[in-house]
Amino acid sequence: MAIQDYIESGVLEAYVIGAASADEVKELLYLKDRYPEINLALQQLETDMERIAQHMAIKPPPGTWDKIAQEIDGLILREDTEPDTFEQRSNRGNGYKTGSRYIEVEVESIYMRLHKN
Amino acid sequence: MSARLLAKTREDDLLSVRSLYDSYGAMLLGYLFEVVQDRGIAEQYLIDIFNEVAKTPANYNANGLSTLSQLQILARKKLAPYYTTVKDCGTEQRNAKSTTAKQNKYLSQMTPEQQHVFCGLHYHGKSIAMLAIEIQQPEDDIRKILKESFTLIRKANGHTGLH
Repeated sequence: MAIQDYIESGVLEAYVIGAASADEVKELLYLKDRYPEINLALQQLETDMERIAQHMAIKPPPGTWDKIAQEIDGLILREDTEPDTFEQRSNRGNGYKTGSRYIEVEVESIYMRLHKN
Repeated sequence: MSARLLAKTREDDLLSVRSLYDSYGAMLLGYLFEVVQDRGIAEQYLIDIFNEVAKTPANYNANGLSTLSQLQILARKKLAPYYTTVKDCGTEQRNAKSTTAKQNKYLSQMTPEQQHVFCGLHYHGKSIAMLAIEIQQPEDDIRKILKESFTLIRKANGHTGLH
């Protein structure tokens, strides 16, 4: 394959704009590592894309980051508080062979809900 | 993983997301606005994108593609349902409202055909095959037209480029 023809074909442009097919992407990633001129051409195109993006940039409103951070915190909290899956105990009543039968609980509320097994 | 290590990892991830937001948030918002033409909707998309980024922030600094390109690809995925409602850059109705053709010094130098191809791919999520059918030209020609558009972009920046 003539590398210059490949560069001239427009497939690199299609790639940086996100319009290349899966096969084209696979081929390009292979060729990019093999031929420095393709890698260089690709870098230049990415710089072009960044220039366009900078030209059209709009500064986000002041509260936008706080909204993002809040939602990320929410996602983390949801992950942390996901309930454990129920497991059937095989030896009911034999779960306290060692250590204390009491657990320490620290809560802000004055009420406590107990579930007896 | 210990609770302390987990907390530290999350803190580091949040800092990575913040760093990406500081570097690319404005560029992405500009891109999103060009597609949706509404600042509120564009901002909501921006929030959605960075929430997605927060799941694997390290990925956006690692792969072969530039960080901006990766974020724009993510933006296009998020915008996919929206694209069907968006009018082409070339249509009068869109131009009446849009800033794209008026303020974009790069687009304004392109021929209507180049604008149609560049906008169709970049702002409207169209495929090369779709554009080939639309303007009744082979896919190879669509890629050539796209390449010409990039050549103009580079010239507008005062560079002739190497290819």
